[in-house]
Amino acid sequence: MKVEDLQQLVRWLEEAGIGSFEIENDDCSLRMNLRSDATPAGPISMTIDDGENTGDGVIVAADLPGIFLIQHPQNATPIVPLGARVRAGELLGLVQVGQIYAPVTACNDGKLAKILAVPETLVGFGTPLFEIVESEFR
Amino acid sequence: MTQRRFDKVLIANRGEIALRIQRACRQLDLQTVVVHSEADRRAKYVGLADEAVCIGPAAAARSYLNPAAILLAAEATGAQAVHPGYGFLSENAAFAEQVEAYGLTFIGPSAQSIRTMGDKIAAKRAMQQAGVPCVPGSEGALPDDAAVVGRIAAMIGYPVIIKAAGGGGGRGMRVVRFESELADALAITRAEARRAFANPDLYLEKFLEHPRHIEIQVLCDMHGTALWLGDRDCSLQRRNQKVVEEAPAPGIARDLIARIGARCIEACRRINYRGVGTFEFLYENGAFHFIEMNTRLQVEHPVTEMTGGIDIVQKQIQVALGEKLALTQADVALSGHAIECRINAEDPLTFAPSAGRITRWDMPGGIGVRIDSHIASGDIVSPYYDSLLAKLIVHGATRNEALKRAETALSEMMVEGISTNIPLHREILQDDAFRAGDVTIHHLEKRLSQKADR
Repeated sequence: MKVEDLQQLVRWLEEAGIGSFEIENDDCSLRMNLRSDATPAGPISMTIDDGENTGDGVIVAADLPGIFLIQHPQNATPIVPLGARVRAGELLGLVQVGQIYAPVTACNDGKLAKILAVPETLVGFGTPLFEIVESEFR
Repeated sequence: MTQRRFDKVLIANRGEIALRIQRACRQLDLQTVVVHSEADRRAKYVGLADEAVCIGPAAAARSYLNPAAILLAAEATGAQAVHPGYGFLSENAAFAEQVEAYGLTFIGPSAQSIRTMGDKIAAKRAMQQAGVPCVPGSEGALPDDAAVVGRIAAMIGYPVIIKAAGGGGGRGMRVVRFESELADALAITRAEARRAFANPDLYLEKFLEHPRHIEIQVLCDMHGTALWLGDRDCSLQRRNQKVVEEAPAPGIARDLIARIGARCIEACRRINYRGVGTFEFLYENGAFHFIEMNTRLQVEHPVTEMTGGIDIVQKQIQVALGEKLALTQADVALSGHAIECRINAEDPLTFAPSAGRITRWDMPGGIGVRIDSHIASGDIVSPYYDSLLAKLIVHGATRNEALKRAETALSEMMVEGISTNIPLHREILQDDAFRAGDVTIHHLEKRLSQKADR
């Protein structure tokens, strides 16, 4: 793929209003993220915990090794903003392994209180990812 | 500079061997990824790795024995090669195939070699074709008809041993001393084999009453070089688990061992073997009888390293990198004598595994003393895995010097908080038969049962 081709791809993406693009085959893989003014609308504040220090809530942990994501690569906003109410089974984040995006889902109803792992870093089995506290509003 | 086949190795194992492999990778400027279970999260070698990733809970079936979790970790970390160590998935042909199918390098022999050697009937046939001496026994798998098996057994002569083709390492075998016991023993072993190894095939061999366990270490590259690096005597065993190993095997004519070594490398050439491997033999009345080949690194490889001066793990990785061995058989010179004591977390009398926090961990040192261990003071020994804590390896110019060094080292070794078999090793070193260098594979068990009777 030539530089001109890449430039053409960027133009098409801009015209179509697409924020990111990913293509992969046997010979090459290409991932483009267009972040012109891409301040995500998403979490205003984000608590990143450095380990196993957790509060009273329920911890959602990774069940496989991979890269922890709080937003889908094709979307600039987080899947669930911090502080939002979530339902059991609702998608909170992703663990990416190669071309696989494994869902991380809420184990109970409540409020997404903390993000416990650093997004876009490697996590392993059992790494705490989210903390959900029981919502006061039922 | 040409690009190497891989520059990041995933170590799919735990304990001392995970650290041993990591050290070899460092020597070769390879990056390391250690995968671990939740129980091993705080292990020393996990912290020393370039990258570490937890792949599952403590139960080995969901972590170290879980190919999918290991391959996902390789994908997530960008590791291009997998070192399986020993135990766990190291002799699992399907895993080796999966690793290669993922486009990664399996640091070990081909899946085909693992499969052939894993089927003891196929392995024996391959060895016979290469001129490696085997125990007299049945030709191939036994028929279902007990009467026919009876005729085969009578021809070989009692006592005989029935073995499962899928067994090995002491599992799936039964000694038959009289014809009257044969039919029942066949039925039970076949049922066990079907259950434990998913392969009901059995074979029959002459049972040797007083053998020693002698093995030959081999190393082969992918360019036609096949070497044998020395012999080891691993006769001191308890329930088929080796306790003390030494190199070279005392009291056996060197030219006889050299002839067996040459046969082993001939067998390697015939089966196109690559990497490290071990041919295990029973030795009785001056004759060697092949029992099985281990297609992986052995726990006891350090005694061969100490006598031959060759870093076996490093060479194993270099072979997997596709490098040509810069060695010939003439370069393999053995010097002095080495002894290894496996230090286990277990009660020295009952052999019950001992778990808990290690409050004191004083290891010996000095010339000719090597400790291969992943343990540090304050570590918790978990009940989930093999009880091996450390390997004490000593080297001396002579066997007597090595024995003396082992004695001194064991007297300095202090472990508190859990029980270990250090007292057993101290006793073994005072055992006259062991010191004389001529014990059979039954010696230790006999000695232990005599002690229990007193």
